This record gives sequence, C-alpha cells and structure tokens, in this order.
Amino acid sequence: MSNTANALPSASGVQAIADKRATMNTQRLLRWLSYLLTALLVVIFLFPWLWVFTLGFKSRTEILSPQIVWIWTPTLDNLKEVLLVKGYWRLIINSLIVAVSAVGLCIIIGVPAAYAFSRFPIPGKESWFYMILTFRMAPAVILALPLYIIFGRLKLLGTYFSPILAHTTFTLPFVIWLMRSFFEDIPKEIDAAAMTDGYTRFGAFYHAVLPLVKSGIVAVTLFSIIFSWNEFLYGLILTSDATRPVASQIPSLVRPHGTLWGEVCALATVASIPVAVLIFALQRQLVRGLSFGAVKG
Amino acid sequence: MKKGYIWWWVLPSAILFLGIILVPFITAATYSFRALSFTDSTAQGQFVGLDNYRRLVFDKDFYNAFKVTFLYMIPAVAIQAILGMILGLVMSGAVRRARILVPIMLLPTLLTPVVIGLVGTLTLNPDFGVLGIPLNRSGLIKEAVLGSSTWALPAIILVDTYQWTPFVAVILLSGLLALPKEPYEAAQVDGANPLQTFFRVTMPLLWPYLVVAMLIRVIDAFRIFDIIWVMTRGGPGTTTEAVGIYAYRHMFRYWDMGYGSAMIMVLFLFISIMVEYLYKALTTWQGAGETA
Amino acid sequence: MAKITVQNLSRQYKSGEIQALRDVSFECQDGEFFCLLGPAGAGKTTTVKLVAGIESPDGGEVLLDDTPVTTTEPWERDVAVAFETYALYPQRTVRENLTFPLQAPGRKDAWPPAERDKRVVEIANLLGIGELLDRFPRQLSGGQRQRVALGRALVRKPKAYLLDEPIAHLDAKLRHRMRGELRRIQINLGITVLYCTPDQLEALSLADHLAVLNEGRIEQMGTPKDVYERPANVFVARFVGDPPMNILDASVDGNELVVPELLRLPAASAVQDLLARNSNGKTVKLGVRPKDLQIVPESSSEAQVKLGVEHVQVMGETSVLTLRTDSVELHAKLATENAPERGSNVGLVIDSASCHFFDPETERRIED
Repeated sequence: MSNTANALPSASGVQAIADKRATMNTQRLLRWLSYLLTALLVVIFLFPWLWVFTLGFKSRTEILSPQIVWIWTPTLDNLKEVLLVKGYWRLIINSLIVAVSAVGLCIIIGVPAAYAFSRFPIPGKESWFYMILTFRMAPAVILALPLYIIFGRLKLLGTYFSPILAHTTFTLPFVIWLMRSFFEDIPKEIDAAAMTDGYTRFGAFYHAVLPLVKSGIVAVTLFSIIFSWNEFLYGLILTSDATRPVASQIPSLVRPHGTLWGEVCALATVASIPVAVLIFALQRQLVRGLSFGAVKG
Repeated sequence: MKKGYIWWWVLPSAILFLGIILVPFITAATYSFRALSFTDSTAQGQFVGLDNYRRLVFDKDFYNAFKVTFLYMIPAVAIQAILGMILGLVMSGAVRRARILVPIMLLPTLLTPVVIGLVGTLTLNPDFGVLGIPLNRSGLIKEAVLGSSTWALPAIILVDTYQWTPFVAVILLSGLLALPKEPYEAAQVDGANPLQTFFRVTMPLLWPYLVVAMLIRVIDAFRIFDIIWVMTRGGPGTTTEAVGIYAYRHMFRYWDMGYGSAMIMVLFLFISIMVEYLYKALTTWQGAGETA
Repeated sequence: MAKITVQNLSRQYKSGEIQALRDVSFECQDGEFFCLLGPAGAGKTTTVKLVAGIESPDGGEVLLDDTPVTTTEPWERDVAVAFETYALYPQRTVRENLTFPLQAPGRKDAWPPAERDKRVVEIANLLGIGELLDRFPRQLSGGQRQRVALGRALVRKPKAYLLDEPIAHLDAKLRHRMRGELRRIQINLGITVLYCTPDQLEALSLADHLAVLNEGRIEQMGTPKDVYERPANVFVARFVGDPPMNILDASVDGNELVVPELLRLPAASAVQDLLARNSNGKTVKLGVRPKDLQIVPESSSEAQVKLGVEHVQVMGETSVLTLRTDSVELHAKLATENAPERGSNVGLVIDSASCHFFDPETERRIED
C-alpha cells in the first residue's frame, strides 16, 4: 500500500532517468499530501478540545461573544469558582476513589482467574466467555435499575460501595478477557519448567509467568481506570452528592438555559487531564485493549 | 492435577460476577412480572404475569426508541466504516507519523463521553460555537441544531462519528500493518492498479478486522447514552430518544420498576443474539491479528 | 538418584484423535543412562512430560524408586527437565535462569545463596556459557540458548534428569563434545538420565540401555548392541544404523534364497534350519546391512548379481554406494579406497549368515 510509485524497469538508460525523475516528483507530491493530511487530522482531532479548554479560561462575555477570539488574557476565575468555591474538587477525588478501588479489586481477583482460563480445563469455558462478553456489551441501563433496587435494600446507596461494585460489572469481564489473551501468549512450557524446578502451580504463576505479563497488567489497569473514570450512569444513580464522580456530575451542570459554560468547561478540562495522560502512557497497547484483544497492536 | 484446585483461582471472580451481574439480572427478571411503580400507587408489587410485556408490545415510544436507535446506527456505522477505512489506509502508508497520530486520534474515543457531548454541544451552539455560528449564519440551519427535530439526530450521528471513527481506523490500521506482503508483491507483478489492488487484495484480507470493528460498533450503538443525555436529553420530544434513554425515562423518572424490568429482559435478549455473532467473530478471528 | 519405572503408559490428545503413547513400559535403573530413541512424533516428549508430572497419563503408572508418583505434582517429584524447546525465562538473565531452580521456595534440598552462585558458575563453565551469564536469552544464539536450558536442568541435584533432545540444535562438533561431557559426568556422578533423541548414532554411543519408540509404541528395548545386532523388527532394523539396512523380499527355494528379479544366494544350513523352524510361508523379508554387502568386480565369478553404481557418497574414510537395478535400490558401505566409480558396474555378494530375517506380514524378526 505504501509503494504506490515504484520505478518500473525500462529499456533505455535515458528513459530510466526520466522515469526516476517523474517518480521522485510523484513521491514528493505524495509526501506533501500526506503531511497535509496529517496536519489536517491533528487539527480536527485536537482543535475541539483545545477550544473547549480555552473556554474554561475565558470570562462569560468572552465566551458568549459571536467572534472567536484567539488572544485574550486567561482568567482563573472559572477554575477557582468551580473547584474551590463550589467544592467540586471533591468530585475528582470521588472519581479517583471509585476507579482505583473498582480496578484494584478486579485486577486482584481477575488476573488469577484469567490465568486459570488460559491454563486449566474449566468446565463450560465457552459459556463463561459468552456470558462475560454479553454483559460487557450490554447497555448500562440494563443493570442500573436492579442494582439500584438491590443497593437500596442493602442501604448502600450514596456510599462508595455502590458505584465501586457497579463498576466491576464491566471492569471484571474486561480484565479477565484481556488478561487471558495476554496469558495465552506465554508458552505453557514456561509454567512446566518452573513446576519441574520445584515451584508449585501458584509459584510458577507468580514467579515465572506473571513477570512476563507485567506490561499487559499495566495496560489493562490503565484502560480499566479510564473506563471507570468515564462512566456516567451508575455514578449518577447510585451515589449522593458527596460521593458522585465528576463524569456523572457534568451533565447536570448543562442546562437548557443559563449554563455557566466557563465553569463547566474548566471542570471538564480538569476531569479530562488524567485520562489524556493515561492515553499517552498507553500508546502501544491501545489497539489490543480496544478490540478485546482480538487484534494485536 | 488435583480436582477442585482450579476453584481457588476462579472462585472470587465467580462470586463477584454472579453477585453483581446474575443476581441483578434475576431480580430484573422477577420484577418484570410484577407491577411496581413509585409513581403509581396501584402498583405495589403484585404479580401481573405478562402485563408488562404486553404493554411493551403496544408502546409506541418503545418502537420509536428502536427506530431512533437504528436511524442513528445505520448511517453512523456505515460512515465510520468508510471513513475509518480511508483513515486506516492513509495511516498505513506513513507508519512513523501514524504512531504519533494514533494517541491523538483516539482522544475522542477514550475521553469521557459526557465531555465529548459537552464539546459537541458547545461546537454546535448557534451563538458562539465553532460550527454553530457558520451553520446558523449561512441560513442552512435556521434553528439551534440541538433543538431542531430534523437536525438533532444528525448532530448525534456527527458527534458519535467523531468519537468512534478513530477506533475503527486504528483497528483497521493494525490489521493493515499485519497483512502479509506476498499478495501485494504478486499483484504488483501482475500489474494491478491501486484500485484493483485495494478491492481484490486488501479487502478480502482485511475483512475479518472490518467485521469485528463493525460488529462492536453495532452492538455499541445500543449502548449509547451519555452523549445523547448531555446534548439533548432525548429531545426534542422523542426524536433522539434512543433505547437507553427511553429505558431511563421509565426507570428513573417514572420509577416504573416493573415495566422497566420487562424492558431490561427484552433488551437483554436482543443484545445476546447480537453478541452471539460478535463472539463467533472474535473467537474465529482471534488468530486474525496474530500474524504480526 | 532414583530408578524410573514406567508401566503401561498411555496418553491421547484431542479426544482420541492423536494416540501419543500406547501401553509403554520400561525401566531405567538407578545411575543408568537410558535413551528413548525414535523419530519425531514417536512419543518421546510425551513420555518425558508424564515422567516429570507436567501431564497426567490416561492409563498406566509412573514410579520413582518403586514409589508410584503418577498422581504426585511435578514440584514434588524432584526431577530436572531440559526441554527441547528450551523454555527459558525471557525476562531473566542467564545467571538468573540458572539460579531460578535453586531458589524454589520450600524446597527440601534448599541451597544457601553462596553455594548457589558457585554451582551456577560451575555448570555454566562446564557448558561453555560462562561468559554469557549476564546476557538475556533473546541475545543468545540457538545453540547458546540450548545450553542454558541444559544448564538449568543440571544445576540441581535431583533424583533423575530428563533430557529431551538437549543438544539437537548445536553444531556437529559441539554436539560431539557435549555428548562426551554428558556421558562422562553421568558416569562419574552416577546420575540417572533419561535421554530423548531422534539420532540413532547418539543413542547407540551414549546409552546403557535404550528403547526404540515409534508412533507411541515401544518397538524394542535393550542394550545398544542388542538393538543394533538383533533388531526386533523391520522398523528398528531400518531406524538403527546408518545408512539404513537394506530390506528385500525373498522366498525360500530349496537351499537357496531367491530375491525375485535380482539374485539367488545359497542359504547356509543354519539359516535353512532357522527358517524352517520359525517361519510359516515360503516368503521372508531379508535384511542386510550396507556394510555386509560385499562388492566384487563385475567380472568376478562370485558375483551373485551385477548392479550399476548410481551414486558414490564419500564420507571420509568410508563411502556409501547407491546401487540400482530396475526394481531395487541398495546401499553398500565400504572403505573409500575400494570404492568403484560412479556409473560403473559391480558385482554383489551376500552371505546369508550376515542376513536378518523378518516375517513378511508382521515384520517381526524371525528367530528361535
């Protein structure tokens, strides 16, 4: 696909030189085109965020003006207002608590389970996977109502437990599914070698195999944190104002009339920074994580 | 291998899974046969058999929700497939640049959906939005996009496409990079032009990746919620009320537990049928990506 | 050190599609070098896995020192394995790979740290990988990796060593040297070694006893001498010995053996008696090793048949001739100085006393 302009062999030397020059020109043209396209793509994909980012630092009049102003004096008022005065910095902490707890729990119990799925003959393996996949792909709404009822009965609504447990509904399947594909990449002989060397099955898992999937575990963890951080519905329904994650609160700030855009944008920006950082940390593993491990990056 | 040893590895996950997923599911199943609503004093949890399902069958809004979902899904997936393919092809030709591009392009996919919805809302705002202003001024769209019953759904499609096209592109890109060189060399020797090469060589080889990507997008289409919630709340009227929003309305605005539970059951059946295909695709083509 | 006993082992894969081992039994004595010889797919690796405990047999028993270990976990069996596929720990250096077995938690024969390092260096130097101790497996050549895998098995002092084609990927000279080293160590230390190889020369030169394996079955067991001089069936006859034994269909006609369209040779009386006593029909499979084919000049009166020399392969001091007629291809081995020219004709003399006889249907050796 990349060699669209190859020099074809030709009869005479002169012809060859002319061909070469034409080829070089075409190649140069194509290279400029691809630079242009790259720049275009970068603009398309970065610009909206940057614009919204800047809105967080503009005053109300500046935002609402129909002229798009590129140079202005940034103000930290929105940031201060939304984070400190309104105390929404707590939302960020909530998101952190929920994400880290849910993901931590799922990693601790999910990684061994994934190993077991990879190494042991488990009855009904196919059915388990099918169920895992189904619930991963089901709309959050499906479980939202029953979870609300159940947590209500257990008097857990408004605590951190509810959103954490709710988040495991999509985190655990993801961890197991993806970690299993990582474990499948490790030859089973490594396990055998460690076991004949005197390590028990768990010892082989912990000392021989686990170090080999370290990068996989990191990737799964970071991905899961992103998904948990981004989650909206469970965070809205199962929490109180004190325990609500930031993603669940933002839509409530967007009203048909009188929305304080500056503050909302400032909050959204702050909420997005951790995720953006994680995305860049995950560069190599992005494809595998997104496609359920079906495709290797 | 001692029998029963396996359980130590799997038990905690199994317990969590059953507790947090199966138990709610069964709860929903039982509630679907009862009438229970916080807003309807006659519905106190009595057993009503298939009444909820019957009501669902005659609920115009239910069909509307499906209609809206399909009206959004079909153009969205089609556009995303085509644009994703183009993007993927372009990037496969400039691999080094692609490496920097990929994380940037995946920002819409991985950043918080509600924030994307926010970006969409702001961009399309007719008073100060980057797209909204030109659309409004040029007279193309006379009203606020998100308040228009004709343009709200296309706006949703636009934002969804912005969010997910990179996902499709990246999957196809990794597929393209994993393709063997031999068929291309053979095509070159045979003198095929780029178009022929694309349709006869690339497409058949890339097909598994495309199928996986599109299946994921189709099933995901039923999960769409956050974007619509932020941008239109399902309005105006019910023009953007996709299945998830519709269910939310009955569950958490009308607090109709029985009816909502019946919806859950029906939706779940629907999803599991689709996942059947996705599962087959993923497990057959699990080897598709492993040529690299 | 321990004795390894294997009784009636069977193992199948893919729900019966692949029968890897069928009713395999053998015994490797304490302090013995026992070879499992067989072509690829014969079941050697499967046997190693079953003895080590990595897999469980479908039927049969494994005993170490007469104690059944069939249901014992591999980490409790105290054997060391050198895998054919190396199975090195990729994220650890060579030194760490070699130390790893000595660090297993809760081992009964724990190694104190100082001893560990000494042992690792000792084994590394023995195998010629002493300078590679701080490299990673991905930085090593195939031959170096194989030696690390072997080293990892040798660092320990277990009851027995199971070596699965441990030097197959080394170059010929190194292989030759390693063979010698291994045998020397084994004898000096009196260790029990179960050694798998597809190379019959290797097995013949190293083993105290060997078992020839084919398609999951043991074809023959015995000393190298037994197996070479009295192969139990056609498979063993052709597998052991290089070039392979020539096998011809022959019939008994009075006091002669007739190979149709080829030759007649006089049958010694001992041979006649043997065949009369033990074979049913009049046809046999006649086997004669290349070194037992006597080459005489074409014109010689002794020649039982004249054949064209299709090819002469010079292998140092001996050469292998490929002799051809329309129906038959034979190989003969003789000293290079006596080898005829390619394309010439030579005479062949076969002495029935040096022949091996096999039943034409069962292919088993005909003997008293």
